[in-house]
Amino acid sequence: MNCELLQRQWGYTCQPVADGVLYAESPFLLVGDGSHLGAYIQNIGSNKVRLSDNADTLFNAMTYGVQFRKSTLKTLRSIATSRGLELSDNGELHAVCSESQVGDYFARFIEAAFMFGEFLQARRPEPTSGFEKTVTKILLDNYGSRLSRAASAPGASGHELQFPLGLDIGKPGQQFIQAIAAKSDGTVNWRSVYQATGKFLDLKNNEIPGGRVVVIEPTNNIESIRQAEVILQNAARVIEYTGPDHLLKEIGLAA
Amino acid sequence: MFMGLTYTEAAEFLALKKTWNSTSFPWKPKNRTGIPPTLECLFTLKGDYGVMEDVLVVLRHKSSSIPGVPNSFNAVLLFHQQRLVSLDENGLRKHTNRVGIGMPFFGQTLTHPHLHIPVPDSMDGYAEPIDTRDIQEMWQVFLTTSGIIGAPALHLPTSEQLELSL
Repeated sequence: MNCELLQRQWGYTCQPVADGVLYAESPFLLVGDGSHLGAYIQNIGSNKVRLSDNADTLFNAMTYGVQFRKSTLKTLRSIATSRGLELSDNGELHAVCSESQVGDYFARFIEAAFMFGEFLQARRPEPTSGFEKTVTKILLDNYGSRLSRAASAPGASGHELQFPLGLDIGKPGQQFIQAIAAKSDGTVNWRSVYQATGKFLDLKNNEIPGGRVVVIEPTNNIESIRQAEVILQNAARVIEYTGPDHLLKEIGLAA
Repeated sequence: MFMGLTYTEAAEFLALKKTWNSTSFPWKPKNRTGIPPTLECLFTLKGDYGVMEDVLVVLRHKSSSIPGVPNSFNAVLLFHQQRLVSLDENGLRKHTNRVGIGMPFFGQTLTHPHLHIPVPDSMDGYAEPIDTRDIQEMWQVFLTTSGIIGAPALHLPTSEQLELSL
């Protein structure tokens, strides 16, 4: 196995890495990143080679914050298996084949790595939910430059608190605003509720003037919204989102 | 539906002064499963009022299992869980910029090391080359682009720490 043969027969980019090790690369890219998909091809004797991604595909996903839960790994393993490859316990996509099969296996390898990329891109953490974006757009359309993105203020703890939205920041009627989206199954995101409560209490305890507002997305259980309001009531004013007009009216009342 | 940060928000955040908030590099094996076996260091940053919320620098080191292939190093600046700046030093794998219209390296194919930065048309997928193989110089490029001051020289994992990750 050598680079000249790989390049001539299959048209891949190829370069020697070490004695008995080559790196072959395709023109295809890892989804949402731009890294080329390729494989290290290691001669292991008896006319056999071992293809490996050196765990780079999963390592790349880690840099985007992807967590490898059991269900995630199960899906990745099934993708690898469906292409006649394996995913090791160390996150390495690999396969062993004869030298004469390397073209076929390289193609399978690139297919699997591409599918990994698509699957893992969807598992990157989401910085902002669709609901948060909706609230932002409504307020931005109405208030324009009066609305700040990523408003910050010091809390009593000494932490610099960041809020997704701020209205008239620096003025007497300033408001710090945080939207809380429902979870994908339509229930209250309690983690977000408790996080917002702690943050707004920290702001309140530092006697920062102005309004503290939570806009909460309706859920499939009205009682759970009331429970969230109970948790938040001492920390921030809660607006249950029912539509743009209602939101603007409530924000205007707080100004 | 995923929307993420806007380019303007990212650019404004990068322009903010951020101060390094640690004196050591406490490399530790990544989580329970260790997939892939990786050592990590996490750091907060300080702003004008103290520790900045939802801001994190994560360093990662992955040992190579392939003869002749160097270990991988990655440094990321996260803001609201969004990867804003990423230094990639990852061996032979190339990178092509399919995003970043109007940027100097749009459409070009790069080797490592390179630095991912946000561009107006995408938060992910655009990178610029780093013209050095010196890890400390790469580190300075990452810090400068991220707007981070006061960081010490980078300490990579020791051989004893590397063994923990395998």
